[in-house]
Amino acid sequence: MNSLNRFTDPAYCLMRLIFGLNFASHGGQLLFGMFGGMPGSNSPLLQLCGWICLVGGFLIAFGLLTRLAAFVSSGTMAVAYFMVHAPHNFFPIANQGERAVFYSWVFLFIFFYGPGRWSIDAMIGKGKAAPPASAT
Amino acid sequence: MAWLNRYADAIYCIVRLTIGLMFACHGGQKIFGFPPSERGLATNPTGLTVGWIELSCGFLIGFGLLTRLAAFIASGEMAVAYFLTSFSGKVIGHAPTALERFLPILNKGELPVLFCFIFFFTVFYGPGRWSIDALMGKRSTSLS
Repeated sequence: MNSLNRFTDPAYCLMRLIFGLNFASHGGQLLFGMFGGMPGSNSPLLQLCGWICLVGGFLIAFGLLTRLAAFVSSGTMAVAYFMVHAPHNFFPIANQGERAVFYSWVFLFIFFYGPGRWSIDAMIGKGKAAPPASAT
Repeated sequence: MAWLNRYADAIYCIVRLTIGLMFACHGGQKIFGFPPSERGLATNPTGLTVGWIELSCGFLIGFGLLTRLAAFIASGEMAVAYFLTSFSGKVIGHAPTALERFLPILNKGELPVLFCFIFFFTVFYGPGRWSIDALMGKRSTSLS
């Protein structure tokens, strides 16, 4: 089934786009009250989180400064999980923190994997941002 | 920054484990009532089918056995779940507007979307180096 590995990088870029845009929509929720808003979103901490979600989400989605944005976003989501969700219950499925776990781990993976071939990073620096050799 | 790619596969395996086990939790809730949830056990055939798919594919993906096959089934199941429940407005409980159909954050279907795409990526990436697949057939399933 190694022939499927040829499409790893396109699938990765598609996943990065979807995860980034979904993450950015949380930023819109926190900052601008879009999509029904979120209770308590005018506190400074949640505003900061909102800016990270919005900017980081779009940067990850379109692959500009991917690794940096993914690192910051991953850390933010880890903090969010342990501050907001973890005290309620051990299981992510019961403490509503499943999406925070998702974003945190996937962005950590994006930090290590890099931008992939369909990204602004790859367009800017053809040589430097080529798809990683480890996944071909 | 390309030196980071050396660790990408190891991180991938941890991500696969975490997300596989979270997926299995959804099945466990429907089949065994563990982890506890208010919704209770699944009773209708669809719920039972979905529950068994989630439980078995979740563990298979988590530990990396038949990874690609399990991820393909799980990804498809999540796509169907998204269109049957979130996209059609069943989760929010009223007929969705056009905007509510297409934005997962509005129709409460973000989780199926995330599961669907991460498993879609898993189909193509494969089991990774820390998996039962890689232990069983060094040559056929390694990443090279």
